[in-house]
Amino acid sequence: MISITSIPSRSDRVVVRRINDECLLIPLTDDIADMDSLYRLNETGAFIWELIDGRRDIKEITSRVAEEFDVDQREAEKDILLFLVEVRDFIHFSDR
Amino acid sequence: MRLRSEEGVIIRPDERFTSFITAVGGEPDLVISVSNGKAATPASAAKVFSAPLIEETPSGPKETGKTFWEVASDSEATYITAKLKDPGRDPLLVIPHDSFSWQLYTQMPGTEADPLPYPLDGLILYFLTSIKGGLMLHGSGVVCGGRGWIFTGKSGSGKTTMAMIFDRNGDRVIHDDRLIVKNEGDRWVMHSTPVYRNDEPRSTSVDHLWVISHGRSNISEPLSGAEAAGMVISNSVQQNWDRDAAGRLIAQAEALTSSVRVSRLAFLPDNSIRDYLSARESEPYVLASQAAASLLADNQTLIITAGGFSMWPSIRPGDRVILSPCHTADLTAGDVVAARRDGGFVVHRITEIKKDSAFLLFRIRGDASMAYDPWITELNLAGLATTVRRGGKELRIRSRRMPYLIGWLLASATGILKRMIRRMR
Repeated sequence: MISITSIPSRSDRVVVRRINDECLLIPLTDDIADMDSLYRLNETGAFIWELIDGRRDIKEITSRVAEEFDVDQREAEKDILLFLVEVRDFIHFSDR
Repeated sequence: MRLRSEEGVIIRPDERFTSFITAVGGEPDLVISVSNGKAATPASAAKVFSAPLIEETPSGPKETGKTFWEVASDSEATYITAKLKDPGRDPLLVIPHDSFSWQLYTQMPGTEADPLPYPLDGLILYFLTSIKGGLMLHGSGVVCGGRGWIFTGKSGSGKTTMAMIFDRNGDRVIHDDRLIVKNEGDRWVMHSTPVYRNDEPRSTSVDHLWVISHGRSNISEPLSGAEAAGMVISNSVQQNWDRDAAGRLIAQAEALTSSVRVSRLAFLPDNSIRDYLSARESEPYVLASQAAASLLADNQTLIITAGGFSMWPSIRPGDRVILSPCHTADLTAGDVVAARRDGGFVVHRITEIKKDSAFLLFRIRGDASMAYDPWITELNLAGLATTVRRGGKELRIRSRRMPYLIGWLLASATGILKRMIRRMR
């Protein structure tokens, strides 16, 4: 189970490309990038993705997002959990 | 533009302007005072241009040796006179220098005045467009999937055909012959112009300008810089005798092509061109293509889905094609490669390689295409197509020289078959 103290890190089964201010996640299968199933992140998504570094836990990421986009903690936390579920194929979690 | 009646004349414009007349107040860009009074170009004004009268005959346009309209100029103003045969009269338009208050002497008998007699209507519109920083383009314009496209080209290049194809598919047609293109804030907007009887004002943003010609397949190639601006200029309405207007045209063409994409486009006159453009112009497609090029450049192998019949039967629509990074020096004729073209990719076979002073040049073609693609440089090559995944199987793409005609016949046959199947349903 993940909790707010879980630490997400990026999987090596994905490559990331920034194209014209857009952040794209492209899944890798057997080291082949699948251009048909890429994910396009919006501004918030890209910001959260950048914060996933294998050191920050969900709580820290939440504070940064709440601060950056001027929303309250609970709202930010809900959005972040939804995002993490969306991109669950490309991250794994560990605990401190 | 506001038309003001002088000396009590009743202004009665031609029917084609009806929908363009508005009762909106506010300051107009231009005021034209219309009267039936007699006036002539001052004798002191020097003649600067004379347009010959060309008559349409069954064997084509023929010069008559007579003047259609002419322009004279002095220190005060520019004078444009049209020579109308029927009825026999010579309306005169006076454009004082640096003024937006012009005078039109229709020379009509009676109390009614046609304020926009042909060809002065087009000239008035042209000057107003030019002075206000716009361009008048020979072109058709449509809105498809929320994007505004202009198709420009020489007479006979297919502007009207293109408008008809989109019209048949329920897309909005702005105009099929002549457009005014203007910068409005942070975007470029195309406007319809009064040419035909039932014309009405229509406008939309411009996303892409296509310089079209009839071709044997749908194929596009981006243009930039001087080449793009040159294409816009050569397809714009121009009055070369007016040096200020010519200067403005060049500046406007440069501004337009620096913010609106311009491409050359050869097309087939059927629905396939609409499908081609819709796929090329979709944002996810362009993003994915750019990402793919960037990944291949970083030595990352990737997989895409084939969309067309051009490589049939080696690659079929729906096949998944593996593209690997490649060293262009290792490529040989017969290899199937992915080349960058107009924001996307085309996967075709190399037929010929040559070297010029700086680059390796490649000629590529779809096995089932009727025509060669233009020569490309190694910089356009993104990757090598090595493997096809079809129905759970992995098939190696063989390097070979294909009997092209057979390939094309096969593709045509499947096309016919598809149409037959569709009809049966």
